[in-house]
Amino acid sequence: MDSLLHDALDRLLAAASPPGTVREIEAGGTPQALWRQIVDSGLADAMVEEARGGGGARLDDAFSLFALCGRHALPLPLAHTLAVRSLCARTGVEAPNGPIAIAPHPVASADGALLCRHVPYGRVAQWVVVYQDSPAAGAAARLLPVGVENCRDTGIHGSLQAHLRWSAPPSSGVVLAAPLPWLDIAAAITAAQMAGAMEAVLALTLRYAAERSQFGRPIGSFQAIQQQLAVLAELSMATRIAAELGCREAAPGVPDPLLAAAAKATAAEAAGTVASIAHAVHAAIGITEEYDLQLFTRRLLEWRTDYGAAGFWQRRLGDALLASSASSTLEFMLPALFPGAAPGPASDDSQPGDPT
Amino acid sequence: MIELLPICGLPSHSAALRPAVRAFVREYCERVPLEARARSWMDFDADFSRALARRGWVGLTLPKQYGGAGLDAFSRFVVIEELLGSSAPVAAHWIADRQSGPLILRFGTEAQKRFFLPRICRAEAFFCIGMSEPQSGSDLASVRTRATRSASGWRLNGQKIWTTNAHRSHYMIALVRTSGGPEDRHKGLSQLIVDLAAPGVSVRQIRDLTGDAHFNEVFFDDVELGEDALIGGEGAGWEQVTAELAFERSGPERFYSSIALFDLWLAYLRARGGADTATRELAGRVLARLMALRAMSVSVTAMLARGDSPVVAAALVKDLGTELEQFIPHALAESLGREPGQPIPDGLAQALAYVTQICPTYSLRGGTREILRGVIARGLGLR
Ligand SMILES: Cc1cc2nc3c(=O)[nH]c(=O)nc-3n(C[C@H](O)[C@H](O)[C@H](O)COP(=O)(O)OP(=O)(O)OC[C@H]3O[C@@H](n4cnc5c(N)ncnc54)[C@H](O)[C@@H]3O)c2cc1C
Repeated sequence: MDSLLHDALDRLLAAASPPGTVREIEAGGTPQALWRQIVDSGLADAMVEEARGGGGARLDDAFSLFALCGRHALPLPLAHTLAVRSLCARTGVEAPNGPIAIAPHPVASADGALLCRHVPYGRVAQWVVVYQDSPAAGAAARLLPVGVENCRDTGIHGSLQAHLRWSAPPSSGVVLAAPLPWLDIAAAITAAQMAGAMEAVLALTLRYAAERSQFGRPIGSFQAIQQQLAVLAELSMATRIAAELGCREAAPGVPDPLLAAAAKATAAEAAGTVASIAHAVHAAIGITEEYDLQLFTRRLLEWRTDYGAAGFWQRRLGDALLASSASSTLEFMLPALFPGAAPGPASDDSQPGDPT
Repeated sequence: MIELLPICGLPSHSAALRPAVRAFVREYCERVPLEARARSWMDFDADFSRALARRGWVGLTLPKQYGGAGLDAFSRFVVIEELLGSSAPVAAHWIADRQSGPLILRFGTEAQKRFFLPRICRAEAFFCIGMSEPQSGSDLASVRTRATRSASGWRLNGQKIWTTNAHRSHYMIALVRTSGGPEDRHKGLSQLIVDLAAPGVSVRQIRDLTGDAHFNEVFFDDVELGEDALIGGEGAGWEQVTAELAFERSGPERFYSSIALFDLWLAYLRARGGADTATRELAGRVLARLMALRAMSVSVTAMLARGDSPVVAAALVKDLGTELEQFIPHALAESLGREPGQPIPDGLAQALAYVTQICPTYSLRGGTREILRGVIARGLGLR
């Protein structure tokens, strides 16, 4: 079932969101037609339970859909929308129509205004999930409508981020009362998108290394290039597996917090090297607007810091590790990061993907 | 083995230039905020270049009889270090000042020197570098653009690519084939000074991933050039280009390209009042690396001043320097992203995004990292 959804989304995005469309929307074009095609395909409800008319994908299955959004550099927050729509449905809230973004970090409010800076997809979203910071990570969140009057450009070329601002806390919007770990959710989605984008970067770079010749040989035949391509492959594989683990469901639609942290930490740490290698191998052509590589590397570099860079998530992991009284790293890691692999009553050896 | 790079101080006559240049640059910086200077030496401002020229700081090393200041490489180091340290917009005259002028002085005829050098020193003649072609990047000796003898001089056909600022330069010094074929490699190559206003030259801008359009494709379609377009010896193009690259590779522009971003970041930290341990370490890490690089660059400048062509040392400084330039945006992104709740000012965020996107070019322009490391390995006796 999940591979059917995956294939359907892959085909849809290949047809509806080719690089030309991505560029148009980045340049300020309207994403409405693209969004309409996604809605018409029914895929926006891929994560809503089947009983409620959705596709029934769990977060684990949705990983591959999120990755596709990165693989195609989709200029819309479809991954976020999938997750939010399913969480709405589960908590008995009717999700509004239109693409939904998730504010990157808890809101800073000054003089009564509500401000979310550098919101990923803020420019193309119609709604945004805004949540108050609270140690419990569980205070009520709100889905706020995004109008042109709320939206300010960040001045970053091609970026879909926007600063969002409401001069007074809006009374409109949809209340999401159920406490949810929005930052973890957004981090897991972002890591999965990064895995998809790295896949595209690796494919483009391998192809170019085989096609481009200098000194009468394909550049991929030079050891200096081979070594870099090997590292690029290593990092994108590691990111993919970590991001897939990051989408392991702890509760319906919600990732395990430590797995999500490890996923974002891994992806964010790899992103800079991945982008640098891809550009080094492509040399000048890769710097051009016309060549597709930049669509992916710009995203990787932006996503690296969205919802917290590597250090932020590493710290969460490090704190958990240091706070534990486990007698070895392994003793901590297995139950914490490989639930199901640890010996003990809760063991479930049939967990898919379990390396043991 | 390569030689060690000895510590060199800047001689006092060159250091004496610094206050005046700094005062001049400060005036400019008061008008243009730091965040608008993140493009560093890619930024093109002909008026700024002419104002510098009026102070005698363009073509500084060229002899007085050709309009230059007759100063040495150390003096130029001080001037450009002050310009780069504040990320002043030097692109307009940069290539002429750094390499085309010295090339013409060394290889040009008296008539060529008299014609070009005073114009370079007045920032009236801007130059671009016509080396790369679509099929000839790292493998420069494989260039296909060809000049053939004509009744009145040379007829030029072919194409260059990635030519920075060709669309706003007056001349290109192009590496072209004047005899033989690509299989002859280093033989049969020559350098020509191409007047970009000549009929048959067309320039198409190429947009980059940051939205800027600084480099170009340049097409030559039966361009008729005079006898005097040839600079240096016919067939000596390869040796001349190699000498030119030593000028291109060793200067402080190879480690100051990200300095505007770094300064913006420091200003942000100071305004916030204090920084955590890791952040302070990062600031110090960059500074320590800058110190070593600057010392190395001064040392290479001393070799150039002696008239040497320190090809290996120049490659070494460029590779290490561009690594620092690339380290800065990535490390700053990581550092700022460790506190996702902390708002980043727009100017800093924009400069960070720009430098992060453009920084791969730092280790491409002027020869890729892989090629430079090959040069260094050869210098180490490994190949
Ligand atoms: C911003 C910018 C400005 C530029 N400005 C100018 C300019 O003004 N004038 C000009 O003439 N050129 C300019 N260039 C072009 C620059 O010199 C070339 O990009 C560079 O020489 C590499 O050529 P290429 O892009 O064709 O890459 P390629 O040579 O095709 O290289 C692709 C990859 O293969 C690697 N490679 C190639 N050969 C080998 C080998 N033997 N061993 C190991 N690895 C190898 C390269 O290192 C690179 O990683 C500019 C480039 C940039 C990015």
